[in-house]
This record gives sequence, structure tokens and C-alpha cells, in this order.
Amino acid sequence: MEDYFSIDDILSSEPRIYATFHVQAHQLAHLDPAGAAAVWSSNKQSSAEDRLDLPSGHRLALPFWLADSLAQRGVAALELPRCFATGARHALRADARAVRLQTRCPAFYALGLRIAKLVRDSRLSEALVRAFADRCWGIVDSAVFAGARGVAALEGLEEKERKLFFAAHGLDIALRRWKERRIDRIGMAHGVLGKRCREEGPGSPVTPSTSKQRLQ
Amino acid sequence: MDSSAATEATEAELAFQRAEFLAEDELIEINPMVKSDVITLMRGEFGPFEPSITTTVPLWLALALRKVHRCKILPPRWLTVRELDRYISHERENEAELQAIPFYFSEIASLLLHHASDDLVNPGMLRRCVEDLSNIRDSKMRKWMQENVRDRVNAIKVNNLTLHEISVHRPILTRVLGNLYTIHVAPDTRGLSSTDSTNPSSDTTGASDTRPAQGRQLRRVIRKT
Repeated sequence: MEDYFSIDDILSSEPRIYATFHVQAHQLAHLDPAGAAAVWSSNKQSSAEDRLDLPSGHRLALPFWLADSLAQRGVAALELPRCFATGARHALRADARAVRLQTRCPAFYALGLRIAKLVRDSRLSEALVRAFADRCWGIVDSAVFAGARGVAALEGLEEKERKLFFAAHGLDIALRRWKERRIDRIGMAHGVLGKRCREEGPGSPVTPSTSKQRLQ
Repeated sequence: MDSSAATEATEAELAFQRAEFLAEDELIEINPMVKSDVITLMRGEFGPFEPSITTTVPLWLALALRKVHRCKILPPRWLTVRELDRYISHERENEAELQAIPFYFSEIASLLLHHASDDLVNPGMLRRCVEDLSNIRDSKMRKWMQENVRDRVNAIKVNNLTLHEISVHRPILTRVLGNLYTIHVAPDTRGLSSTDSTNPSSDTTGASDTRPAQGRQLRRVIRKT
């Protein structure tokens, strides 16, 4: 389902999630230099070669694409990010429309989907579906009806929802243009339009300097 | 980010224009003001044209003649205040479905009201009735779409939509349903066959109980329409 060349998909695998290593990870100390150094310095028996490794049982935040492949090899255990934890699911269940998904995770559904796929958690995906089903028509309505306030609503929206918002908004623009039959009219060029507006303004003489400002 | 709304807008606008283009092939009656022989078009032969003798031509030809004042357009039977009022009251009474109106209703009404409003009786009132009717149908459609998504049904069947309404509702509805589908199907895709993923009674946990079974979904769709 993920598209290899899709920038959105790449970005959705970017958020960091916590992983705990089951094994001593060979040559991976550079992932968390300070943390690994602290562990090794407290451990007197560590050799110089050990210091390049991540100690077993070490917990650190990794980007999802890395944590994902480590977890699939059974090398590390992942923690569920807080935005998909029980508390967050309760909030979504209580009133999905009031939750600001954008602040929780910019690619909420895409990441949630990947995690649900990884841990085979059908409850998580069910929660995501319910959240989207509850939210989607509110988004469409705000895109169509709210005008300027719809832009404010855009702030809490997650990336998939943004796309939906833009689709609804664009459709509404097109519908309005069609209803006004704006296609039939021949419009003025932008430059001419600007000049005309200024001349019609309340008594402001046109001087070269102001027109230059206009252009900028 | 603005550009994606702009792309949607241009795409949708092209869809509306295309619908209008198709609508212009509908036949309409005119009263010509000039005398002319039979015109042979790809569509067929039209004419002969005799002043004040009613004849039938495609809408685009009628509009072109009207523009140069060579004919008077006789509005279709449904484009009168009385007929539209009947449509509206019928639409209001019947909450459960859309009634059949001409497939190119919005396009023809819009074209005639814009280019040939002099040939219509009481165009202001007509314009209001057309708007009323399409608003009622719109809100019905909106309500159904919301209900169906809320009840988690993956298909909606609605009869008697006009082309204009299809191009208004389809992009959003398919996008919403498509998103729901990708979110809903994904966890089962790895390692399981596709038939398992649609079957809620397989070994998935109790959370999937809220998902209606396939048969119930279908029945629901049928009852709704």
C-alpha cells in the first residue's frame, strides 16, 4: 500500500518511536552516543570494542522506518506512541471532532496504519476508522461552508484530512464559479486589473513610485 | 498547499464544463425567425426552418441562433414555475429517495436562464425554484452520505442523480470511502488472504464486532435506496 516514491509516505515513517533492544546491538552506539557511553562507563568490564555497541536492554527513540525493520527482525521491542495509546483512543472515542490530530502526529492515520500492521492490532485500526468516520464530514462541511473560518479549522487537521479538506474546498470553488458562469466571461489581464483598481480608488493620484510599489 | 485546492478546482470545473458540453446535445424546440432549408449535421438532419413553425434542434444550435436573434427558444416542459413547484413538493414529501428529473437538469436550466432568459416566463422565479430544488436534493444526498459513513457501510446506491450532482458529490464521497477503506483493510493484508480480511468472524479481536457483516451491509444499502 505504501508508495515507494511518495514523499508523504516517506514523511509518515519519519516520527520517532521508542524501542528497546533485546540484544547488544553491534556497532550501533552512534544512534545514541551519550546514552550508550553512560551505560558502558558504569559497567567496569566493558572492552573498547563494546563501547561501539548499544547495550542490551537500552531504550531509545528511533525513526519508525528503522524501528520497524528492527522489530521485524526481533532485535528490538517497540512501544506504542502516546498518540495511539489508550488515553488518546478514549479521547477519540469521546469526541473525535474535538481532537487536534495535527499536534499529536502530523501523519496520524498513515503512521497508525503502519503500526497496526506491524503489531497486527485490529483494535487500533478500528479506532482509526472510527475516528476518521466521525471526523470526515465535519471537515467537508467546514471546507464548504465556513469560508475564512475553515482555514482556522485546517490547523487541527492531519495530513490525509488536509487533502480531503482541499478537495472539498476546490470543488466548492469550482461549483461557485460554474454557477456564476464565470467561464463565459473574458477577464482582464492581471496588470490591467491592478491599474484599473487604483484609478478608481478614492482620489489617489497615480505616480510612478506608487505603481512601482504595487508591482512589488 | 493552496495549489492542491487549485488543482481540485480546475479538475472539478472541467467536469462541470464537460457536463454542460454534453447537455448541449439535448434536443429542444425553437420557433425560427428565418427561412432555411434542412441542415445536415453529424447528428442527423434538422429543419426545414420556417418562421413561426416549431421545429426541434440541438440545444447548442438553438443557443447559437438565439444569440443572433434568429429564433425564439421554447423552454422544455419542466422549466416552468408550476412544474418546478410540483417537483419541489414531491421532493419534499418523499424523504427516502430522489425523484427522477432530467439528467441534464442543472446544465440546461443554467444555460437557458443565462442565454435565453427573455424567452422564459418569470425567469427570476424560475431561477429560485431551480436553486431550491437542487438544494433540497443536495441536502438529502449529504444526509445519506453522512449516515452511510457513520454506519460504516462501504457502498451507497442512489438512483436518479443528475450528471451535475454526480460531479459534485462523487469526488468527495469516493475520497472519504477510499480513505476509510485503506485504514480499515490494512492490518489484515500481511500474511492473510483477502477473503479473510473482509470476514469479521475470523480470529480478530472483539473490536470488529461493531463492523456490520457483509449481508447486513448489502441489505442496508438496498433498503436505503
